[in-house]
Parts: sequence; C-alpha cells; structure tokens
Amino acid sequence: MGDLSVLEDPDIWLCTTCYQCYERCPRDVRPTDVIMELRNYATKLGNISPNHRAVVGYLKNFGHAVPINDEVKKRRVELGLEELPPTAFKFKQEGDDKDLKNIEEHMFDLPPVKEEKKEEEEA
Amino acid sequence: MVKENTFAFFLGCIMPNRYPAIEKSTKFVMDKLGYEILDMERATCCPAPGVFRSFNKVDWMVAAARNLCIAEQLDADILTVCNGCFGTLQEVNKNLKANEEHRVMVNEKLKLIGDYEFKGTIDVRHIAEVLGYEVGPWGIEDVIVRKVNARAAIHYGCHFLKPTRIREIESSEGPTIVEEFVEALGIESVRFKEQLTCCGAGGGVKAYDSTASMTIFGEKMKNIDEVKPDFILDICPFCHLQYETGQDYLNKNKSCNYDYPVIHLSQLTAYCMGMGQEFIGLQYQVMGQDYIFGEEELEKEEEVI
Repeated sequence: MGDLSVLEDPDIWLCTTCYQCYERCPRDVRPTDVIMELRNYATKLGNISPNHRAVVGYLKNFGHAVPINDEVKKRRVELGLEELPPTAFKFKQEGDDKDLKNIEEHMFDLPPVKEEKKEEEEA
Repeated sequence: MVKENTFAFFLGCIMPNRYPAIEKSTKFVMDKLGYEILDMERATCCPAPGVFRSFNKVDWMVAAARNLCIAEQLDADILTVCNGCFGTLQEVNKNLKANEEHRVMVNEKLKLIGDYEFKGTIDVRHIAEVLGYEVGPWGIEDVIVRKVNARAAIHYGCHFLKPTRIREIESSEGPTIVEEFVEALGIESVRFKEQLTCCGAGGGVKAYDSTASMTIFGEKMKNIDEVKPDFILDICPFCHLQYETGQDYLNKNKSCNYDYPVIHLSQLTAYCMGMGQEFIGLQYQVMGQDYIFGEEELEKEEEVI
C-alpha cells in the first residue's frame, strides 16, 4: 500500500469503462469504480492529458464536449431542424450565457499544467 | 406525476452536433407514435461519463443534476438516444433520489450555477428501451409502412445495459431487446464473434489515446466483416461516430477496405414509418453513402368493421 506511482501511470486512462470486468467479477470488486477514483485523484495532482484538458475547455465554452461546426449547421437546416439545437450554446450566441459562465467559474477546475510537462510539451 | 406520453428530449452532443439526422429521425418516430417531445432549453453535455466523471465525480453529478432539473421543470421524463447520456443521467438521477447526503451536497453546489434544485420527480429513458418494451415489436407492426429486408450487425454498446445493477433493463450477456424489436422491421440480426464487446471509444480513451481506441475497434470490425452484414445497427451516437470515423481510419492506415453503412435505431425505425431516405442522412455520413434500403412495401389489409 502507499505506492502512488499508479497516479502517474497512463494505464489508468486506457480503460473504456465497458464494465465487462465489473459485471463478471465473482468477488464484486467493481474495478471500473476503482479506476474512476484513481483518475479523480490523478486529476487533482494535475495528471491530466492535454486532449482531456481541451474537452473540459469545450464544455466550459460551448456547453458541449463536441461543439457544432458550420458543415453540421448546414445539414441541420437541410434536414428541417433549427440551425442550432436549443442547448446552452444557442442561448450564449443570443447573449444569454449566465449558466455557462457559472459552469466555467465553478465546475471542473483543473490544476495548472505541471512545469516539467510544460517543458516537455514545448520541446 | 409527470406528463403522460411526453418526453423532455435530451440531445447531448454528438447527435445534434455531428449526426443531426438521428435527431430528425427520433423526432419523426416519437411524433408518429403519438408522443409529445419537449425541447430542453439550455441543456449542456450530460456530461459524458468517460471523461468528466473521470476528472471530478462531484462536478459530474452537479452538471448532470442541472440537466435533470431542466426536465423536472418541464414535468416530463427524459428521453435519450445515446448510451453515454443515458449512463450519466440515469445513474445520477437514481443515485440522487436514493442518497440524501449526495442530494444535499449537489443541491448546495447547484445554487452556484443558477436557479436549480434536484427534486427527484422524473425518470430517464433510452429510446431502445422505449421502443423495445413500451411500444414493442407488437405495437410497431401496426404503424410501419414498410419493412427493410436486410442483415444487420447489431451493436449494443456498453452503457445501455451496464452496470446491470444500476440500469436494471436486462442481462448484459445475452440481450435480445433490440433484436426482437427490429425483427418486426424485417431485419435479420447476424451474430458475430465477441458481439457484445466495447467499440473502443468510451472511457475517454478515444480522446486520450486514439491508437489504443483503434486497436480495440479494429478487432470489432474484423469480427463484423466475417459475417458481411448489410449494415451496422447501433443505439448510441458515440458508437456511431466510432464506427463511421473508425472504418475510415482503418481504410487509410491499416489497408482495410470497409464501407459498411452505420445506422442508428432511430434512423431505421423512421424509415420503416415512412420518412424519406434523404432525411435518414446517409449522404452526410462517411461510410455507405450510396446504400439504399432494400424495402418491402406492406400491403395493409383493410380492417373490416
């Protein structure tokens, strides 16, 4: 016990959370829940990948993990749908971004990128 | 009591922002079936269970609770068409109804976001379960105008059924809900090796390490290719995205030559209920753009009164 190196290990981020082991485990270990706890700890220590940081940024800016683009806006109109779905982003476009601002300020606050990581990324 | 035959339609991210034809199809199906569909104004990402739950489980619950509150204010159960959205919203809803400590904590933080309070008055439903159990193969037969004669590789994905202790829909090791429903639409379900394994997209893996994600997906496609289905049928826009972009990746990087159309249950059902092929949206997808459903027009017997 007490070996914290697992929190630096990329392997904890390679679980697809498919729950196959969770369902099958005869000892009811619930590995998926364990991995989630480890990831929460790792994130607190700043061990979070640049791609995952970007996804958090999308949520804070657009309210979506996958934001819309011009091509899809066009398709939506061709299909007879509203150009923008009635989600938080549409209201932000119309000048009403109160909730998104609060989400940005109060939710998913990530520690800054670690110094050594910053150097690696810049190198 | 929530409104009857009414759903608050939770859009999520990938459906409205990548595959709007699934949104169009779902609205068409629910409308024809006589359900009222309400917009969930100001909804956000569910938020996705693979990424956001990994970063901060409490904030994941709070953001999910905010979405749940929007449906509570509409006094309607939530309808989702995505396993990820269903996973997050069904799980958080169930947990907050049962766990007072979590409910108090989440409601406290919700005050920072806006005028929200989780009350626990609604349920969260998935289209596959509404169609499979509520409408049923017995009910859809009366409202379809055509059947599709095709062999489909059905992909359940993970979070519709698992964890079974939370979802409580049916066994995750031998499910039949989708097979039985689409059989009424003329579909023959072809079994393939390791049919119930993950597509490789979930858990934040697609964003974290796309090569690892594609290794899992490559196995999936190899097993599907062995049985040569007419198309791949899914119940989740994220699996849908993985099958669409993944085939393209394997063709470009792993010398594969796949072109299997990828079709969501809503798209198939809408087609059988009379929606035009152009609204099914295969022309916007990467794979199987020229695929045309092989159909059988139904001669409905006039009812003798």
